[in-house]
Amino acid sequence: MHGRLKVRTTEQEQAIKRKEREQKVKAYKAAMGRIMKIRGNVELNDEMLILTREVLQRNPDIYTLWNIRREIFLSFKKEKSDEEMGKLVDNEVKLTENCLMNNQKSYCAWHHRGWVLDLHPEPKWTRELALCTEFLKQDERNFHCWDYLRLAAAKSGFSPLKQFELSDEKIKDNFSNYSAWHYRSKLLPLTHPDPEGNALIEPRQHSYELGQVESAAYTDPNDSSAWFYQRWLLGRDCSVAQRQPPKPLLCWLGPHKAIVSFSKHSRLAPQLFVDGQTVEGEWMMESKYVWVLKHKIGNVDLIKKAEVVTEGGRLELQPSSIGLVAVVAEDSQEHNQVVMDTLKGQLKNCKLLLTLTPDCRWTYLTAVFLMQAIDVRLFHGETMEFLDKLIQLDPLRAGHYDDLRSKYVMEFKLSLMEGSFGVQESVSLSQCHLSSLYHFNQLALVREMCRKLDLSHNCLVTLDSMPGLPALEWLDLSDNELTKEPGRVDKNLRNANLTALKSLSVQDNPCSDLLDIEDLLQTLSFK
Amino acid sequence: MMPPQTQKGDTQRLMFAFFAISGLDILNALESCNAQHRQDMIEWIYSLQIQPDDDEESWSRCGFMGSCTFKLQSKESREYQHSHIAMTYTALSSLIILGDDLSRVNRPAVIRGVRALQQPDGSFCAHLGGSENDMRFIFCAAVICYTLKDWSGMDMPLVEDFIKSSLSYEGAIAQGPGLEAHGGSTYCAIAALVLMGRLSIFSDEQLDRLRNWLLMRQVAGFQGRPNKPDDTCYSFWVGATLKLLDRYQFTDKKKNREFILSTQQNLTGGFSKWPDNTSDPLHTYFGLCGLSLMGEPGLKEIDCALNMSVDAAKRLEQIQTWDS
Repeated sequence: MHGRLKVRTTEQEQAIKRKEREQKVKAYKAAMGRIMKIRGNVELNDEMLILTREVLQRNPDIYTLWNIRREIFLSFKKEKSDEEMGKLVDNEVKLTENCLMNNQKSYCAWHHRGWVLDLHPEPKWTRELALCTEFLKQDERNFHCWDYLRLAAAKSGFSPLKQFELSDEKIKDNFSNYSAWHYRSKLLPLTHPDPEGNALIEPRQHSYELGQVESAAYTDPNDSSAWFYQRWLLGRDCSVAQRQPPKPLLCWLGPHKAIVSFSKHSRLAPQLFVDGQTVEGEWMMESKYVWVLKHKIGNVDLIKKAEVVTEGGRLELQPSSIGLVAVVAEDSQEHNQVVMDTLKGQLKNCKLLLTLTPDCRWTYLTAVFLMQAIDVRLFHGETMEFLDKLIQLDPLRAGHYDDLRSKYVMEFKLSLMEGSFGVQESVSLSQCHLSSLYHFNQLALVREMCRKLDLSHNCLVTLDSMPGLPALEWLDLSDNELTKEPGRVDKNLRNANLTALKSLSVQDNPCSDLLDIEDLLQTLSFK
Repeated sequence: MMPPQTQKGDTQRLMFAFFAISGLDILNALESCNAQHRQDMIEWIYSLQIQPDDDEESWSRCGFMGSCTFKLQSKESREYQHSHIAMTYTALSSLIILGDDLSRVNRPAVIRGVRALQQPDGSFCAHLGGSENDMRFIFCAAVICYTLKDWSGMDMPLVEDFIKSSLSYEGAIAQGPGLEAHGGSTYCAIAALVLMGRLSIFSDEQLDRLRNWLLMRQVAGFQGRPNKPDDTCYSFWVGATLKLLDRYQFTDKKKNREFILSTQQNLTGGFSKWPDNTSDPLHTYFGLCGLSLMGEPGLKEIDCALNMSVDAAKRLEQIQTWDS
């Protein structure tokens, strides 16, 4: 059904074609009728094989007919000699080959071929590898064929290492980059696992793979699969960080509440100890990264020692103007030195590549991911520049790059804020090009303390990810793109627990005329 | 009745019927089919249901067939009559869209028929006689279980394992472990997880990488894999997945719309895979869905996980009054 070109024909040609079609339909119906009639009649197996073969060669997707053939072959297996079986299977394999010539993507034909070869007394699986090679030459993206290749390699008794060498050959041939990279990604953890068990792939092989990617990228920077492969190599899946438990980044203890925010999704609640005793109460997961405890301590000024213990480490809290706090510095967070050096090396390569091919969007995108992984603060300006460039080079995805910008701006502000907690009460995110509100959930302490929030002069369309802000008294949302959609912005504000809000501005927004500020403020304070 | 060129699809007529029925629904044209006609279609679908008999084993064969090509009369030959998971899925969905209340569906039998098709690795085969097993049939199983409100049709943790192991290095999902990521299988996996309520098996990071891969599939229309030409149906497969992952708003709707409309056939109507190709029901249906995702006037809104109009999905909710 896919992709047949239209062809114009004369009336006479059309009449002939119509007659041919009618005959075909008649023959098809007759064959199918007979097939249904004699099904299960073992004595007529030979006739059945002939009938089903006829229909299948024209129409390889009638799965029931393959089933019928399979039933017959299973009974053959019981009765026939090895030699006879061998011949029968060879013919069957030839049938599937004819069907595949007709439709190289027939699920049924590939499936049946693999199935029936198992019945051969001496199946030549290595010959199947050659068949795959031929088919892949015609269409290197035929995933049916790649799947069959894996089957054939496994049946040939190829160890993962031998299969890995096979993929090496394919990549060197420039044969099918996409599928070959893929094949490789599955084999690497089996053939070259990290002996220390810290990462997915053994370090030297990991470096070699990065080298391969570099060659691919320098040869053709527009080949996106190499970039995706690189991202996988550098990403969490392959790295040490994946295996480590979430680390606590910020802990705060106030008179009635404690907050702990983590580096990544934490499924386990932390524990809080004050002067040697566990603090009673139920920890609640406020968001994936933040746990909150409501407790009854009251005055925290007299506490001598406070400690938070988690799976990923313990932090000792120190007195401050806003309660007891512990904050972990940026640098000691995710990556160890080896990983950092690798990332920095890759960034250097990207920049070099950009001098040779300044218009490759993949290089810019990869550089952005790398910069954010290495040092959010150091590379903030350059990240913003590169995102602007990406919008220029790849306007189709301008919305996506703008969204990434919002995310990175928030990560930058986050890195500045949690460090010095005196500034929590008034937060300015004005003129930041924000189109979404990211990471607010991680600004747990800010949200707790924040009295004034300036989100003016941005590009917010909705406030869907607006977090709870119970201390907020002043909110400026002027000059954004807040939607006219009835009730949307309204609902967002109600969900944000703005019980203390006294001043709100939404002027210069599409929704400006829809909202009755006085009314809204009254309703919000009742919650 | 189907034209001879579609002979290949003879045993899958239910699926073609679904494209037509759901397509008409999205075009707001189903009501224009008279009530009798719709009732006839409902009767035809029910005629394809396979019921169990006294034999315990027969329950594994239950569900719906694709057409009456293999409808057999005698009891002996009935053991050759199996349901096909994609036909069961399209049967149930078509019934809902046509306004039926599923009261004549043998729910426990259908569910057992689905469960019988699950493989040890978590994936599903299409029918008991044996077939390939991949992500497409996981989606079918998920819709069936969701529709009949009975998740005993699948071992969920096994399905989750299969999906997780089908995540490729590119950050998107393939038909099965070891294969290339693909727009169609990614839709099948994500939609299934949404219906199962288990999207949380992926971390935020994994979802972000997936979103990135999906957004990179737009070339004008959408492609199914890197470096392949765009194809109308991916405007739905990729587009709907982006909707489910809350990133559809970052696609370029203008270019997408231009591409879909360029594959429209002015003589015969319908959409095809590429411009200047013969149109077919599958691409016509998904072309319409692709346009609906961007709010094209005159088209109904779609429920992206169920692959039917929101109207039909609401109706389903209303009839799901059975006890679990």
